[in-house]
Amino acid sequence: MSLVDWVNRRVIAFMRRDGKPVLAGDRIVVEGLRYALEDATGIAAYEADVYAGRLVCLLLTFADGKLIRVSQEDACWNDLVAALDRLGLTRVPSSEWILQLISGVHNTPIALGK
Amino acid sequence: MSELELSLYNYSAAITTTTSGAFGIGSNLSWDAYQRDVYNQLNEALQKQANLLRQRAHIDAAEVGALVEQRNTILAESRSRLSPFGKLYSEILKSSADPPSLEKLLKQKGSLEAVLESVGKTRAVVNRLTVTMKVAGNGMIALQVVVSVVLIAMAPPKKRGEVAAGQAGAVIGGAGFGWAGAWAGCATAAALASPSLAVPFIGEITDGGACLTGGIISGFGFGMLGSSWGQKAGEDAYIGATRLHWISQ
Repeated sequence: MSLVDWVNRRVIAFMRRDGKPVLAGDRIVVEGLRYALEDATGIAAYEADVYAGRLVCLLLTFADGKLIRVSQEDACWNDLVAALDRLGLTRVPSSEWILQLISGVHNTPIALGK
Repeated sequence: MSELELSLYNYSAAITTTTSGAFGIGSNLSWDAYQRDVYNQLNEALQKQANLLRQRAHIDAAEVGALVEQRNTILAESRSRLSPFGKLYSEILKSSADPPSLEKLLKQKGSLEAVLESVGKTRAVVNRLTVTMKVAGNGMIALQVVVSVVLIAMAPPKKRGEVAAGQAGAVIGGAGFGWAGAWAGCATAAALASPSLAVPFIGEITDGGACLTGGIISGFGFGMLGSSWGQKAGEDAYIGATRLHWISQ
């Protein structure tokens, strides 16, 4: 491995030191902090343009300015979507907003709640 | 050379310094844009193969797997040719450490046909950015060439060699420091800006937005510095080489 690759890997590891978000009940945990889903001040869905296709993502905003991004590739995706449906935190159920997103104009986010 | 001598046939210091800084980052952007073009063409060819496979009645998993492997190889090979800045920016957008396997893609997309549909597709956002980088980068290189040629052509005959050596040093120094600066700036900005603070409402380019912005600013700054040092080193080397006198017994 070249010096450039070694440094690049260190930088990326440092950037992603906080790890992936996980769901604990109705709370999302990231960087050791727990946020109740009901406390989200904004929920938006968008499609990220990634390797060989597009990925559905959710962006949760909280009062302290924290933004948490969860994508279809994250382990907590299904649980998060189910929890949002169960708590009624989105304007429309996931079956509808995912369809709207996939069939809509790419890169146009959908505001789902609050 | 004295300031007075320089001012007789030189552009203002502000113009030459800005041009050199722009050349430092411009050469980096152009190189990466060129590599991206090659990558896009290879993927286009791959997608053509995939489309031909889709037209057949029976799609064989082994053939689709081979295309996915080919795509992963293209990605790794293309990335290895990028500048340090380009490599880091690409790794932030999509890690090459864990390229998707056919199994993973099948799980995400649901069918072999769906995998084939996008096996050779490249990121539209990055492609759009590359076009901008290419135009801007080539423009900055052309500007540096024009400034250097004019400076050399307008120099008094006695000084032409020294000016040419200085310009060669400026170009080498500007490019070297510009590339290094872009990489350092990208790494620093990416490490300092928390990814969770990036708002992706304007598109996922914000994933690497800090890296891109930091890289361009730092590449420009270091390019100016490297060019200035390179010019001085070039002129000094020329003077040193042409004013050596052998003492004969």
